[in-house]
Amino acid sequence: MAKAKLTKEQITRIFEILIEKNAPILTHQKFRGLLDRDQNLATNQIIRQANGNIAYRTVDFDVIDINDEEFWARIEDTPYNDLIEENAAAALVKMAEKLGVV
Amino acid sequence: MMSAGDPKVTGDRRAANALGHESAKLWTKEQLAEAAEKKAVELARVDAEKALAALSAPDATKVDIAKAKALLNHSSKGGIKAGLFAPSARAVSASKVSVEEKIASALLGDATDQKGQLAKRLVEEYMRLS
Repeated sequence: MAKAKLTKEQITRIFEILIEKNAPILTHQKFRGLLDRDQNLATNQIIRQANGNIAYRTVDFDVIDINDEEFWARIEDTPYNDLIEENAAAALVKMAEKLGVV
Repeated sequence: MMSAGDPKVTGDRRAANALGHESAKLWTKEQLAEAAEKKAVELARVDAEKALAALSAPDATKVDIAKAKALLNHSSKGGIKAGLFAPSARAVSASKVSVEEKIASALLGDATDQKGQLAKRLVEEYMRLS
């Protein structure tokens, strides 16, 4: 039988689908109970990445043909606004740290 | 005949062991339950491994997703046949579902031991790639 060869991106994508479809396995003891500390941390990391991808997909649209009002309406309509803002704030702080501003 | 569940056997195990009596070698109910649990977990792990290999194989588009899900939902112990995963090109030859969607689809629905093992296998693969 062929050996499984998945990329990190594919695995993250699998988790994205599971999150979007509210798959109970992600939080279930039949999965989480099997994981050691490192595996649990890795799972949380994958889920964070998957959530971020899902969130950004909701605001990934062509901005050329829409006016400002439509743009902000779509941005504010996303159910992941808080997550996007948090990620953006974290990215800004990291950049500021890198540049020695803070 | 003495059985592992016999209170005399479990209660007098130490004495039987000291005397070299054969009852000392009998398993207790707890030991039997533990062994059964270990075996079930190992079977689930093997099933998950087969499912992942089948779903992510280069010719995964030929794998019948319904069969993959059937394998992961299988509840009987040890009754799973690898034949369930025999590539069936004709069955889903027109499938355009991605490997990711196939694997995710096999993980949807009620949580089972096999699904838990399959999800764990994905995490292990992710860590290996990191």
